[in-house]
Amino acid sequence: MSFTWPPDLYFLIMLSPINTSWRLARLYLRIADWSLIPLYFLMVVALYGAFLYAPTEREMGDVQRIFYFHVGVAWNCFLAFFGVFLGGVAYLITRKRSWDHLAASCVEVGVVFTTMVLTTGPIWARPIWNTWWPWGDPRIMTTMVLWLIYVAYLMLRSSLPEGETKYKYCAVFGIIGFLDVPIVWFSIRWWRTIHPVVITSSGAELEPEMIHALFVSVIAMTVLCVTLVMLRMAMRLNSSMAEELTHS
Amino acid sequence: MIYLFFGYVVIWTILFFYLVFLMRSQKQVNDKLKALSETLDQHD
Amino acid sequence: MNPIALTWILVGKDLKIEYRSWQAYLTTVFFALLILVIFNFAFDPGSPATREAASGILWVALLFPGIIRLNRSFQVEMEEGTLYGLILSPADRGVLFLGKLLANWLFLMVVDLMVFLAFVIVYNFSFSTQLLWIVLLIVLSALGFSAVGTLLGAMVSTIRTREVLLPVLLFPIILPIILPAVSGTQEILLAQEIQSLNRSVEFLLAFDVIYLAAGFVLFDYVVAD
Repeated sequence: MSFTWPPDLYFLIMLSPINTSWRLARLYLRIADWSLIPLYFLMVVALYGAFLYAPTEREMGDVQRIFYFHVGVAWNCFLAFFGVFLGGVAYLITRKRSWDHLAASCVEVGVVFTTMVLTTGPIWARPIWNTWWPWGDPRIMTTMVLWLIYVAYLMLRSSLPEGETKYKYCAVFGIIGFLDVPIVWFSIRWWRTIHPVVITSSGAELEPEMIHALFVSVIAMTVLCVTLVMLRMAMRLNSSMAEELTHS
Repeated sequence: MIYLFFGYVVIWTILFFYLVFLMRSQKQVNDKLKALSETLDQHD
Repeated sequence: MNPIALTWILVGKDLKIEYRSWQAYLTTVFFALLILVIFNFAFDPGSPATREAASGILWVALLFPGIIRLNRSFQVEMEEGTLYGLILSPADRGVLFLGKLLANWLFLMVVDLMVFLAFVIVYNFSFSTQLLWIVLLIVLSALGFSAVGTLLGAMVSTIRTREVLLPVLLFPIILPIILPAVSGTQEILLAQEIQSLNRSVEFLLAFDVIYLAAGFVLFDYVVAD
């Protein structure tokens, strides 16, 4: 099974000798290409694991199966946001546009994944805790703030004209947002969970089959996220290359 | 359960082929850009 | 030039500008008071439930003058083009940030304290030395708010939709200020047992330090051309 490096690592490796966008894009496309078949099978196995292999949870019933994808998708939201942060910092330091491409691609994929988390969350929560939105859980609130920051980033991005200013400002906002997320987490943990909602999202008892299913699902979602980011980055690199060529 | 499983497999397969389509078209764009870039380099 | 002296000069510049147009400043205060009154109409001030929620109402009422203040401070810069003049000077951008930040902070604090005064009167709380803790919370949160707000405000000042965009960008970032501030205020106002006040103060301090540092470093990228 072929693996996928995180895109940042490849950047670091390939950044100096390769300056042409189309080369970098071709590299990403090739990596994503290699990961496609494994991705498909990972996903099917994850689906099998979630629906057929894992036993039905005793207390929550079958609704609990959402959790297998919910967790996998949720962790990727934060991974993508780290990509935004990394892209921002690296852009401010190196002023290479490819890093901005990384940040922008991560924001797009990240906001989609965060939306999925915030929609599957209430769907799961309602039958179990009889509430659409359990205020007071730090993870849920932090994910919501993360979503707000993602959307704010997109709004900032769309209201700026193309150019270096745009990339700089977005990089700055990405850094500020990234600094904010742990602060939000701690503030909620220390001040909202005084009245704790009983959250045992993964349950105290996880049977071994459930752990297997969860594991596969998390890996599948991570590969999906990385592949999507790489594809999006390749698209951006191609279009920026096309711009350059039409200008020269 | 089995219905859910197959339902989601179908959804995923459709999405997956869309992903493959995107990649192929990006590859084509990339090849064209590469050719264009090389012809421009030759001109210089 | 000595960076500290330069910072004071910048603060003085902003103070002078505001002094000459004190009507705008008064309008901000008045707007915040109006918000308090609106809450008064929306929630019955006599009922015990409102007294529980009072600290939340206070902090919501304090948010809006902050935004207005930030919008205004950069609007002046844009209109007069003075920002470019400052950039061209050989001063370190971090000093620019500090100057703008201190001016914003001072004004915000003054507005906030006046709103707080009105709040105590309108909601029938008794004046006591314990209220000084709330003053401390206001001071610290205004600092954090101004730090992030100055940075983002400078960023947004060149965009046409800046007045709407600034709150959109700013509010998600300053959300973590609200929780410690409101809970600390609530404990003081309702004379509850002081559980989380110390932690609130520490948290706000940490928030301020982090965003002061971040703003100091990042302001360069925001105003450079």
